[in-house]
Amino acid sequence: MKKNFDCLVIGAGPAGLSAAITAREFGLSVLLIDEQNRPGGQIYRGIESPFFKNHCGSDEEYAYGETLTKKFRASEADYLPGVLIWQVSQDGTISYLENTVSDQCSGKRIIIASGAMERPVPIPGWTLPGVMGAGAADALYKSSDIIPDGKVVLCGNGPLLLSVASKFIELGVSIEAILETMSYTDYITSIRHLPKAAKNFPYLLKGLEMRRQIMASKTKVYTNVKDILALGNEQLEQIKFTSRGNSKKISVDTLLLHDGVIPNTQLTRQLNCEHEWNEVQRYWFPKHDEWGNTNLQGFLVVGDTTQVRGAKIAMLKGQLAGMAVAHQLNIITGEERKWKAKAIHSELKLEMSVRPLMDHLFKPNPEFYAPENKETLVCRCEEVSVAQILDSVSLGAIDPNQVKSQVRCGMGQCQGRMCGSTISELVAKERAVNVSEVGYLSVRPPLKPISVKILAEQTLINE
Amino acid sequence: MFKKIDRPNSKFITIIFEGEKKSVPAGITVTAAVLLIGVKHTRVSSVSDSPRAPYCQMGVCFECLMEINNVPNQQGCLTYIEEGMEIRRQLDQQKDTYEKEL
Repeated sequence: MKKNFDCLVIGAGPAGLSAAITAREFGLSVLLIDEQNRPGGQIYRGIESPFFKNHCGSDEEYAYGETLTKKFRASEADYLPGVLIWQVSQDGTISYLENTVSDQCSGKRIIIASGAMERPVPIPGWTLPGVMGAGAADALYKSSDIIPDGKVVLCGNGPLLLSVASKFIELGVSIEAILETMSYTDYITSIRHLPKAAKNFPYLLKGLEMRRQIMASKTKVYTNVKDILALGNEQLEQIKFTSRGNSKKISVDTLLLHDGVIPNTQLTRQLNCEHEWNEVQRYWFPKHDEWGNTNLQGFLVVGDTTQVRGAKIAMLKGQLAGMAVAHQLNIITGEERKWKAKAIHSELKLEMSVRPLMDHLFKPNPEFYAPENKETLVCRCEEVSVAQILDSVSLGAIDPNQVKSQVRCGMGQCQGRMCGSTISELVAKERAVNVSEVGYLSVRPPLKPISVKILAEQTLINE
Repeated sequence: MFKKIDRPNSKFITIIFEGEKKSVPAGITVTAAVLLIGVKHTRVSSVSDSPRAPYCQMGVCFECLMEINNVPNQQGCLTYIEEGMEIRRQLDQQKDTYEKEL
């Protein structure tokens, strides 16, 4: 296979697909690399499989995704699915694992569309088998056509939780209860963003319809839920919580947790791109301009990696980045780029109108992002608790990396993906400073497990 | 606990889970197949040996690390099953990996 390209795109979700399509339209040589074996990312996961069509074929939004994957297939971009990137170098070289072989490729420009992940929801007992993300259950449904059996409880907040709840109700999953952690103040403080959001009326309507469906199903909904515990011996058996101050206990087989979605910054962190802190949604994102350029020459970011904005905005941003690359590689002039991007900018403006409301309405829950229960395991891999992290801070650690050196949080196989944001939050809270001041864990290659044998057998691209 | 959605004309293939043949729907992920046949945990924690099951399904949590076709530390949620695929849980993860590497 060809190894050097004008443009490498990482991630085959809506942003990556549209960036690759656009770059191809300008005649650039493009390689799209993805860790899944089919295009679609998380939102359109499994879109080419027959399962997906069975359930989502009529949905307008998903039809949009289908068009996108078809366009991509027709674009003649090179496509490398099912490979794991374990290193991205600042010179544009990418090292990846394909089965048990490591190889390299390079691009004059790299567009990173690594998407988002569910915000980790550390509660006591969240490592028990039977507890998983609500988005995870949705991914299992989309990719593999399986749904939870037995008693299910959904807990947390966010549009994805609503969407999973209404979808599972329709599929006949036996939902014991929905535990809403949203506070009333979030409702009230978000009202001021409603007029702007009203510009995108269909979007709001969709949210209301999901709520109506949940209410019509007579599923038990607990509001103002706090102090959630997952209990069990070898697996989840019960959950305990308070709703409006009253204690409750429910027997349950599957607990699906969700508290919104955050950018997956593992690649941009490993590259040492500059990152910024979003104080409302409480996540880090790579600093970028309107075209997606990061502070690193030659590296662009698009889609939910840049800030969580959903599929449609991701596609639009992918187009802008494709144009930016075409301009940077002297295919089009700055004027042409500006002219071509005009319609996209105005579409972006409409789509963005609903985001301030969403960001304020679905604010992350302090009980999840900075857990107070000292027993809670923050780092699942190395089993490091809130208490150990706070002790480390009281012994003088001032940033996540010092905490990591002392107590090993972030040193396990997930390499801090599941605990990184919580560590930053806890350190900031204990030191009574803003999270932006304490920073984030250093992320280093290899980004995926690779054996020494495989590493030793790799041939380098320039040899 | 997970179940398959009933579909007419579903295709099934055989995987080998810890030495036993299991029939599972074609085209699904290793993680989905393992959950579907009723496996409760896919690995044990290297710190306390506590049982763990897949959490994120999107390549982030690494709780679904399994041994697939004799290669340890594979992310089951990103791997799709194939006819005759051999799948094992990582129940004694570190020991197993060390022995293979040496």
